[in-house]
Amino acid sequence: MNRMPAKLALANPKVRIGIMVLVIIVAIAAVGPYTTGYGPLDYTGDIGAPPSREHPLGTNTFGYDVYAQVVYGLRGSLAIGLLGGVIATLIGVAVGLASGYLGGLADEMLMMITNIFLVIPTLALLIIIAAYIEQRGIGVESLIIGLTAWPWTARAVRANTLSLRSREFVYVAKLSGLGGARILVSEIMPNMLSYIIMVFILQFGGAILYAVGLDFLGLGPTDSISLGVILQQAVLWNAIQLGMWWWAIPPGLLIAVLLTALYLVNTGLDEVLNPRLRR
Amino acid sequence: MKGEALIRVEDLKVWFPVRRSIVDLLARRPQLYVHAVDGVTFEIYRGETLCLVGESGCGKTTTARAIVRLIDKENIAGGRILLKPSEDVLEEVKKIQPDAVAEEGYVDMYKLKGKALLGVRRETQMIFQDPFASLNPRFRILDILEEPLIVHKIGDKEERLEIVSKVLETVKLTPPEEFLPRFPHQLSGGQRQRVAIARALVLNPKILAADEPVSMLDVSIRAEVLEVLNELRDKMKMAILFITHDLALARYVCDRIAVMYLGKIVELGGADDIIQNPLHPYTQALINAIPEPEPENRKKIRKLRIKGEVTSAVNLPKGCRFRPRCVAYDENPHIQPRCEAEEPGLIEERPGHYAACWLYEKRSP
Repeated sequence: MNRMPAKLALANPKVRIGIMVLVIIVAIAAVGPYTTGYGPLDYTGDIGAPPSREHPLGTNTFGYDVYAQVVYGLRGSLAIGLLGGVIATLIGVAVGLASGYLGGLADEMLMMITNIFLVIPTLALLIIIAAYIEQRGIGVESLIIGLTAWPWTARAVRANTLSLRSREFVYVAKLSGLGGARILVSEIMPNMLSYIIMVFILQFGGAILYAVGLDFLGLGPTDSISLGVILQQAVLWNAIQLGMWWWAIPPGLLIAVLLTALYLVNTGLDEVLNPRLRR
Repeated sequence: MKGEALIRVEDLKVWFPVRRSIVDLLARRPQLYVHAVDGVTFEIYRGETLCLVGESGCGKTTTARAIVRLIDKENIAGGRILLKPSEDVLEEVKKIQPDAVAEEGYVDMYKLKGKALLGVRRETQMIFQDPFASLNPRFRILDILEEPLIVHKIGDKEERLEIVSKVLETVKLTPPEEFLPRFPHQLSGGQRQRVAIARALVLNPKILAADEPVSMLDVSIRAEVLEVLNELRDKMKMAILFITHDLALARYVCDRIAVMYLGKIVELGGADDIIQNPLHPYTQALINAIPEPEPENRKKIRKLRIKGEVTSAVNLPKGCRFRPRCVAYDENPHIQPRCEAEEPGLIEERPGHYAACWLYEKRSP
């Protein structure tokens, strides 16, 4: 059972393609910065130059090398996705498990908080928070995204816990004297690991998308670069109208490809893990 | 055969609150309860199997769960469950939590907490109906069987492996090495149920509740599993509460049978007495419903001596709870006022054979 799903998952074409694309993108982020001599904010001397041997993706209005910006920006975006996704998943899983297993008053309270967070218009909240913080780095951005994205995960994990905690093997564990925390961690959680992985992938993609949205509104990191920041600047300085497609299209395309790959992995995994969707 | 009772259930009541809607709350309607178990008293002796028989929803499973304390304290509406643990566990409880010790070496199951409860848990186990749900699908057989030992800090890795292997041999899963690394889904239903039994036995319990342990198994492997249980009871002198809805099966495994209806025991007695000479109208109907193995007799159409549907356990009828379905009630007009007014208690009609029915009331001289 343990090793089987991994094999099954890779046998699914959607998962395979998605993972392949993801590996390529991660490789670009990892290796890319070493393939260019420029930093993302280095003045190159060329202004608004089209792609050439020297500048594979041209330069922008400020004379920055777009290729360097994209590979560094990709790192930033992936970091936000990873950090924000991890934070949101951790909080969501912890709240969901606790609330589903404890039940009673604790459940009511936790779900009340979750529901409040759920109905707050997240983007508006993000904008307000982001606007109040003057020095914004990638860490802060992923933190505020993670802190607002967990509620639906908590609800889903709670529902899962509720159905698992009345399974007989949980009673069996109780009879053997296992405590609540141990039952949660060693009996219930392993049985929804696949689900938690899927949740994380969704949160990862969601965090990237939210970050792009914030960046695009000019509320992104102030001291570093991400794909969204490049896009924002490109739009702000009329890159498309001026014919500088190499400034706007590569980062936008990269975001689209990245999210599509994540989506493919997610639906593919869903097909594998949910037997009813299996063909 | 009477020895010392390992389990004493005294007037146990388990009520579950019915969920109320906001409208009910606002209208101040009274909280309703499902009377899952409603005043049950029995004892199980060392080395004895007592069967709880009854139709689904009559409270058999709830009784079993209450005994091993799987029911939340707040749902115990009355009565108590006394268990007799072994000497060392009793000493331990006396030291840690003297207020949970009842008279004569018994502990009150629902007063125990923390460490004291953990100690008693070692000696009480339960086997569940569905061997596909009672084993964690993520664990190997070794992990499943080792877990209780780890929780109770018994032995080191090697000693635990030895204990686990021995238990697997007891339930006739041999050779153990072949089963230890497997996952539950790689075993058949019968093998799974035997793993579940092994898990229950690994701590050497004195008290075992078995909730329809063979009803999900193929008929061909039932006998095997039952044999294992009977052997264990005799060898380890356990007290077993065996739950089933099958009277024929009950006669095969049990010393005594208790018949339950809507949360109450309506008849209690030796297995053979009950099968051959049922007293309560409900038991008579149940026995009447056992399929007839003799082909000659099969052609005779038997009239089932019961009518209607099971009454709701929320709104119990006044008087005898079996009255709405009772054929004897219709046939015996002289006891009818009694049946309507008052709930009968267990009446000893023959030595050791009790029935809760006004038919057997000792006529006052």
